[in-house]
Amino acid sequence: MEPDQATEIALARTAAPKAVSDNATILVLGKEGYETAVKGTNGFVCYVGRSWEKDFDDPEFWNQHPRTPQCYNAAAASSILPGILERTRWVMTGVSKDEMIAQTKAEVANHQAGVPAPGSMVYMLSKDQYINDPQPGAPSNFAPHVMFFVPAAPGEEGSAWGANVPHAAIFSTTSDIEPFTTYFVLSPKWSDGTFGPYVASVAKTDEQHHH
Amino acid sequence: MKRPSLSIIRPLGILSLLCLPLAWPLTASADDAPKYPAMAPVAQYHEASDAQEIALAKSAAAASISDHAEIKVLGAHGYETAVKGTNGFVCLVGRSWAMSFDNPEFWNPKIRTPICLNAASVRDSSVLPLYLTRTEWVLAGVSIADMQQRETAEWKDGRLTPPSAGDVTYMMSKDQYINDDAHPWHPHVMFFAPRKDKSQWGENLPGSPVQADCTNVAETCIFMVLVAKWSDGTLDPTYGSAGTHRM
Repeated sequence: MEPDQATEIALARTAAPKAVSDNATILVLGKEGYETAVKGTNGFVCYVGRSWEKDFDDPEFWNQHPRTPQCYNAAAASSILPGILERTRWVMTGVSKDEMIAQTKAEVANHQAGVPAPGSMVYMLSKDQYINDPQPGAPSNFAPHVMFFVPAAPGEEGSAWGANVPHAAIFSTTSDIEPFTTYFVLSPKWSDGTFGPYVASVAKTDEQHHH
Repeated sequence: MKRPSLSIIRPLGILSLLCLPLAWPLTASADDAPKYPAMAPVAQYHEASDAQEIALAKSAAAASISDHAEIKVLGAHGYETAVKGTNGFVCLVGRSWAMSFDNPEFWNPKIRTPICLNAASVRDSSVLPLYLTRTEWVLAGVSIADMQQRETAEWKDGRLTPPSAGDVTYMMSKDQYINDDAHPWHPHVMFFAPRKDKSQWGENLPGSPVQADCTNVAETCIFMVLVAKWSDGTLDPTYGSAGTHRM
């Protein structure tokens, strides 16, 4: 949990440019799941994700450090976010991982699990995001990026969009249980306007050039 | 849900040209003489050789994509397949007539927009097929008014339909000449989507890496997501100093 709601709201808003997040609905983590702290007007929903959004078999599934500010557009908020909110309720009410897996599989089998609505996308541009524990040369805040959700197509792991190839601008992962593929497009800048890891050196050069 | 693992960090009209109206002066003087009032001699729209055009087309995306893509080059009557592909992508060099009909650079012969389209964009009638057909009309001497009329009719009778979700194109060539003010612009990935009533992706807002044009193709929004690197792996040095709508 964050120390207070204000901290969590502020962190959630860093997921997207202010022009998006200032008018978004903001969710904060409560004792039994996410709760609406601020009602928005632009269809976006921002919140701070936790480790249990990862795949069930991810070694960091229970890592208490991740904080992933995200802003979902209306399409993603209506189709993908409900599944995340449900999983969070399970976690907060003590449902075991095995039970969560079984329940999720049952929902997929019954076509109750979220299939992404067309145009589902998410901003993850927060410099303060903590996605995974840091590794040598790879900071915990990864890089600013925009995510897109599309229905999973068997045998097409990323190839439909040209993802996961050397020097690609896009990469992807497909959930091992849920029926969608997530594409990541790396962005040059964080939401605060500073450069992400790929362009920091260029920014410095540019700055020097102007002086 | 999968989240990016730190271990896997690795790094348009009809095509990207449709974004061009965003760069127009909002108030053009009636006295301004049009720079490109009519089609230039057709030779000016052609590259010196097929080999040159193929290389330029391939520069739209990372080599790992474009090396396996079908490559089309501009021929006397339209685009022709110069190289057969295996990955579903088609790469080509767009010309000025990919822009909206009222764009003042519609006949600008300098424009060259390398683009690689994924299979969905190749298939969807309002993306690549529309552009290929328009190209044939241009090279056959069909007037702008007639082309406009034909496309309107095609939308009306259902031969042209809005794009499906999943239409993705790459425009990451450092050698792109998008218009007289943007050559190059920035490396970007484009998405085509059905037009909705309100902002769908937080596009065109201050600080957003997403820009969109929802005016040039009927029932379609074209989203441009800026990326940091050109297809050759070098960084875009102008990103930091560029305005948000410099297209």
